[in-house]
Amino acid sequence: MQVKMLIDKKYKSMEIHVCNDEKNASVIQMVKDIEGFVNIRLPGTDERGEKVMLNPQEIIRFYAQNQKVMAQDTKGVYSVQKKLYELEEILDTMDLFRISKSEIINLRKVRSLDINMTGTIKVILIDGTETYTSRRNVTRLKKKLGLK
Amino acid sequence: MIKRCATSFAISAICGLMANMLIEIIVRTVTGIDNFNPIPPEYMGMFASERIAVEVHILLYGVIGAAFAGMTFIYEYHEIGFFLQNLIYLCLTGAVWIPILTLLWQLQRYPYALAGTLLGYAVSYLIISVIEYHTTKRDIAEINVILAENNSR
Repeated sequence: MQVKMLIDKKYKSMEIHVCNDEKNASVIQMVKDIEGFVNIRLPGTDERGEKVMLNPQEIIRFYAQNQKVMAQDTKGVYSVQKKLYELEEILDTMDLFRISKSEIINLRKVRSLDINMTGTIKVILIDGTETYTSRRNVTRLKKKLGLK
Repeated sequence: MIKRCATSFAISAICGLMANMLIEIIVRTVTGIDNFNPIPPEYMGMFASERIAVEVHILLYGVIGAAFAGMTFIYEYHEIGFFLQNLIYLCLTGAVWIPILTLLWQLQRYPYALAGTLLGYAVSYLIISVIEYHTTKRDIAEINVILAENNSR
């Protein structure tokens, strides 16, 4: 299967086209998968208690706090009704990574990792948020990123 | 976390007990000594009968196994770093196994053996921690290259 990127002024916003010589089950499944990936929304509640629909692609991290699961993006923090393991299942097409028992990060929103002299491994996210992970998770992350 | 710690504590205690009993059976089978007894006479003298001494001995090995498993909860606190995690784990487990083994092996009678055991244990942890640090630092450098590439797209 070829994946092409077409850059042209005629496109005013991003479009995804699935092309084939016939409409069959795999084409229909592909369209469904892409729609699910692009359009999936997650219900949440913002800090003022208002219901919002979150775009998971924009979420920097999900974490457990005071028996609640929180989702953080660059604009704020929201509570979500799902458990962390449920989020991992629902959003399995995204680049999520479990960095601890209580936290999942979006790998597309990670700036870098750092280790200090005491062996504390810091994960620095794109909004400057700093969080921590273990040595074992660094090894898992390496594998996830395709490094040996 | 308390539930998980308690579970691993209990499982490890049972495993420690069974491993100790298994080793004794193997030693008896291999050596052919029916009345093989792994405990020093000074320790046995602290009990009314040999049977009680052996049972306490086996039980205490179970406690050591449980301590090593139960104390791993410290590795859940990522923000303190693995040097400190290893140091706390070393101290917490040492607080359990050192007095138990001193009692079982009567190590206080052999101060050089006790000092050597403690030193060897501490140095092993130090070496493991230093190797861990350098390996992790290298892994992080490789990960950061990939993250920088992804972020520049």
